[in-house]
Amino acid sequence: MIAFRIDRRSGVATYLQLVHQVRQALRLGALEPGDRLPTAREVVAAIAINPNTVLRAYRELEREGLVEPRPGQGTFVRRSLSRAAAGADSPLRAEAVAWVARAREAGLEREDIEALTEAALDAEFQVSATGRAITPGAGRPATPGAGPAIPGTPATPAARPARTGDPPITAVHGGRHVTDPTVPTALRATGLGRRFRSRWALRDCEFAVPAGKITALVGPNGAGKSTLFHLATGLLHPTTGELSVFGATPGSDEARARTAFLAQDKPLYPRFTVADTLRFGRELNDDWDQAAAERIVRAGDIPFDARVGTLSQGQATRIALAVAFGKRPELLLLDEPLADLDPLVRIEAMGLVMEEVADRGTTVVISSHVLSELESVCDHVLLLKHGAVRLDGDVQRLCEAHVRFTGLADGSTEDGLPAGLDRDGVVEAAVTGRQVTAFVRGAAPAGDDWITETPSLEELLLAYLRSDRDARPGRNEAAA
Amino acid sequence: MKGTLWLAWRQQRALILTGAALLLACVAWVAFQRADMMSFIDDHHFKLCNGWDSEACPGTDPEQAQRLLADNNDGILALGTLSAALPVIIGIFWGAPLLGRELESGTWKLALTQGVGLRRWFTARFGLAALCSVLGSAVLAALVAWWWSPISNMLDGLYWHDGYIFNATGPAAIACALFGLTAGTAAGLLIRRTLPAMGTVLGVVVGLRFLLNTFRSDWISPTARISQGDAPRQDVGSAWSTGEFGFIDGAGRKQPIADACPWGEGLPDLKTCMAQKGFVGRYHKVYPSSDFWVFQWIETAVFLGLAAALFALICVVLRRRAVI
Repeated sequence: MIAFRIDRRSGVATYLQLVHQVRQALRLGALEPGDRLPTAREVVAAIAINPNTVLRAYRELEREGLVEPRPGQGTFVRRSLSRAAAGADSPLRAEAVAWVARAREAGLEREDIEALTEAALDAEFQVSATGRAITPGAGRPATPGAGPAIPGTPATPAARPARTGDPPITAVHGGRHVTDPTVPTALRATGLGRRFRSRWALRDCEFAVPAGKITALVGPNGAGKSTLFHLATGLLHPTTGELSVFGATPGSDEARARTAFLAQDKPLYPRFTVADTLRFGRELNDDWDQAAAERIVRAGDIPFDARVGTLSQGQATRIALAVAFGKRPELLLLDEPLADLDPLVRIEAMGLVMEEVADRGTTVVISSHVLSELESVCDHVLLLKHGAVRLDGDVQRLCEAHVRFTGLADGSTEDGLPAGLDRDGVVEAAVTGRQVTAFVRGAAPAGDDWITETPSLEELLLAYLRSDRDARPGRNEAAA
Repeated sequence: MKGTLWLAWRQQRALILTGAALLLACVAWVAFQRADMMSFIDDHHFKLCNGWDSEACPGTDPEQAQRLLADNNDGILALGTLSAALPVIIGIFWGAPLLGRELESGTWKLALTQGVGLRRWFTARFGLAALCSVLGSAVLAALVAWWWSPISNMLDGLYWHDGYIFNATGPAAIACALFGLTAGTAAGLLIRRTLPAMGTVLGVVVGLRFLLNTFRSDWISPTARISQGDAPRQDVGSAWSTGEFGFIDGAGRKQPIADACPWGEGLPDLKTCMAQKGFVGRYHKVYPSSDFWVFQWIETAVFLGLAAALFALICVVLRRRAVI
């Protein structure tokens, strides 16, 4: 067995961190052929990540021939990784050392040598940009301005072949929001708007939240996130347009039966005991899973006769989640569930949610300000700003559809960006001295004079949160 | 209990059990006091009669009658005060938090996103509160009537038109309790905070009671008791005097001049004076005690009408869910 751990700030895709840890364990001999890997449910309960991420890591390992799934039993190690050729006394190592020495003599700095080896590795393995980042010794691409532009920088992300095996869900194509009609939708908004007196909390929102996925709802305070949750639960009515929950009107009997909502303040009746609170769920729902709810309470070591008002915040969150999960929802709406929780409880609470997803394939919409926590959790992202949808799509595809690049500012243009670059796609750009840094949707400028990087979800979201540009310029102009 | 009814019971059981306990204590106390009172009446062979004038009750020892009243008035007054205050208490502690606390603490979001709908949730909770309010106020109103009726409208005891009695008994007291509950619920819903809603319902119920007490006699016109010639006037008895005295002239018109024929030394006697001024009789306007029921039904209708209007308002606001 192997215990995974996740570095949420490393910028390395979570599934690759898992893959890497399995490879390491295979090298160390901690995992041997025939060993069983933990199930997705076990992993997500422990480290609170999206179960799909675990499955994806296992698929990657399977593709590499390292593990094999055995139906009904789990995933098992197929072969170990020999370390013989990589040992300190191996002739290959001596060759590499000699090659590095030659490169030094030729006047190359460390960064240049690393870039060379990276390019060679990429050519050999055809791995992705994010894959490159965890290749031992390579580290992240050089920091801008740290050295001369490196010839032979790996191909830009846009030039890389699209990954196969993951069907597109939603994507941003040429500024248009496209939804794949074959994927069922949990929440769909058309022309959705809600006004409070003279202020529009949400306006002209069009989006579709895919079923069976975890969607992150992101936006600054006052962007309309809570309003959206209230509209989706029928606690508010829209002023314009409509929102549907699995095709039903929010707040209707059908929609209510399929939806569970954990409001930001996690309301519970303080004078009820824990047992009363579970009974509340049982009495008010036709389809109630008492055993599941009790399991969650027991796992938190909370006495059933304790009054809810006397519980700690972490325990109260657990009770609120028990009520939500006891409902057996198909759609789980979580409005900032982690706010006010200490770090351990955050992971514990998120682990509970991810376990539920692993067990029942629940669709989850979760809002949070902690962007780094979302990265390991969500499949889909919906970014709201000033009451409008600014970004909507599959996380991986969105990240790959964007690129951050750094280079020498172009003196011939006003903004320092290369003349040929499509200005519509520029999310963010800044010139500092002779250096220009830009975050763009689409491909990086052609040529070798740019250091390019596929952004992490956090970087992507931050760029859009800072920028006033819309991911859908067509809509932006219409609104202006 | 099942479903929303269980929730209603679970949320209100503390109030219901406390209220029931207090009510039981009241019943025991009143039963004891009243038994005392009845044995006192039996022992002294009282001939109970109505009105101010003890001379109208021959055979009743005025001193013993005063003792009887003194022994019981304070108790009836306290019970009447409690019964009259009950609608306010219900409005503050039952009505205002019914929705106000849910909105204030956010638990409405929890309750309204479960399998049951808004209507069932509200109906069960309001229904239970309304049932308990009606039962509680009816028991208290009946206790007041039970204790007071043997010595009602007697000497300087408590009369039917006293606020402590009128507001504390009869159908109007029950209707007022319902009104208090509905007003509290509406205040909680509209203000969305428990404490200010409590203050509001206190003001509204007390204010309405004050208005009704002030204008009670204006709803219907009093009865004129006419005495022919200088025949002595009928005793006021258990009636509620308006204080309007006057004379009737030859044409049968009422002249509300109380002191047209003053009595005193050197002045002509009443008969002569009336003859001189052409009056043929005297009158006194009063509300007889039978008007108790007319007043009661009028105020019952007022309370129930207002409660119904507020209930409709609550339903409209809840349906629109303008509650965030």
